[in-house]
Amino acid sequence: MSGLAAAILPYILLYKYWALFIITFIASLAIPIPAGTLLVASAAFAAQGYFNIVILIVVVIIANMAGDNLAYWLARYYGRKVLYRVGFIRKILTSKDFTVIEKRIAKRPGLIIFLTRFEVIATLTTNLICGLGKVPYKKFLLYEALGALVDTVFYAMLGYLFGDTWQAIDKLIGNFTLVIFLAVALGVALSWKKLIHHLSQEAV
Amino acid sequence: MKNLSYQQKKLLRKAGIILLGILCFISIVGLIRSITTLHRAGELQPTYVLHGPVIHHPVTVDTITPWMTFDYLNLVFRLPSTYLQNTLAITDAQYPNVTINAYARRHHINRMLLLQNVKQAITSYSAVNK
Repeated sequence: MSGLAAAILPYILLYKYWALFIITFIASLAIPIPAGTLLVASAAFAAQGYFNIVILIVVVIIANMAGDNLAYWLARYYGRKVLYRVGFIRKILTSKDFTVIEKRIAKRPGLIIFLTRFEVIATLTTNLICGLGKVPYKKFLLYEALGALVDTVFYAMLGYLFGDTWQAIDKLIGNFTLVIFLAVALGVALSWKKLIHHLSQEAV
Repeated sequence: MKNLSYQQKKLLRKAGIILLGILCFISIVGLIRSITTLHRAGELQPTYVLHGPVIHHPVTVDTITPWMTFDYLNLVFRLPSTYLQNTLAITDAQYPNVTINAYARRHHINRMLLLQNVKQAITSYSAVNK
C-alpha cells in the first residue's frame, strides 16, 4: 500500500462517509489520489461491519460523478484561458497531434470515457480533454455515469469479498494497472505516426 | 529539443521506446511473481464464509496496523468499548476516535511497542471470550 493511501486511511476510519466523499471527489476533480485503493480498503472495512456497503457504494458513485462533472465544466469554460498561460502546455494544446486527438474524442467519446474511469490519471486527463474539446455534455454524462457505476462496484466488491487480504489484492491490481498502462504507452509510442494519420482520417 | 537534428530526435525516440519496452517487461515479470506468490500463500481466494445473506470474515491480530483507530478495533474484534482503554491505561480524551499512531505520538510512546501491546490485549480477550 502506498504511503499516501496509508496516510489517508485513518481519516476514513475517523470521519467515515464524509471523508470518503471528499477524498473521492478531489481524486475525480484534480488530484491523482489512489481512490481505488481507498475504496477497496473501505469495502473491506464494510465486510467487517464498520461501514454499510450499499451506502458506501452510493456515496462513492455520487462523489465520483460530482468530481468528474465539475472537472468537465471547469475545463470547458476556463480550461483554455488558464492552460494557455503556461508556455509548454499551450504548445501541446495547439499542436496538430493534440487537435487530431481532441476531434477524435469529441466525435466518439463513449468507450474512452468509460474505460478511463478505471485509472485515476486517465480519468483526470479524459475529463480535461472532453471539457476542452466541448464533447456534448449528455454523452459525457452518460458514459461517465456508466463508468463510475461499474468502476465503483468492481473495486467495492473486490474489497468486500476478499476482506482482510485486501492489501494483497490491491497490490496485485496496482501491478496489473501498471502493466496495462506501460503496454498501452509502448503501443502508442511504436505506432504514433500511423495512429495520428488514422485518427485524422476519422476526424474529418 | 529545438536544436536537435532529425536524426537525434529519431534516436531519442528509439531510446524512449526501448526504455518503455524494458519497463513493460519488468512490470510483467513483477505481476507474474505477485500472482504466483499470492496464489501459494492462499491469498487469492475470497476469505469469506457465507451464512445466509451475511458475509463473515475471519479477522486476525496480524492485520492490525498503526493507522487503525481504537474505534475500528473495538468493532471488528467485538471488544467492549472501554476494554482497550482500561487494559492499556489510555488517557487520551479522543479515545476511541484516535489512531494507534496518533496516540503514540501524542503521549511519546514507542509506536511498535504500543502496537504489540494492543495485539496482546486483543489476543488475551479473544482467548477468554471465544
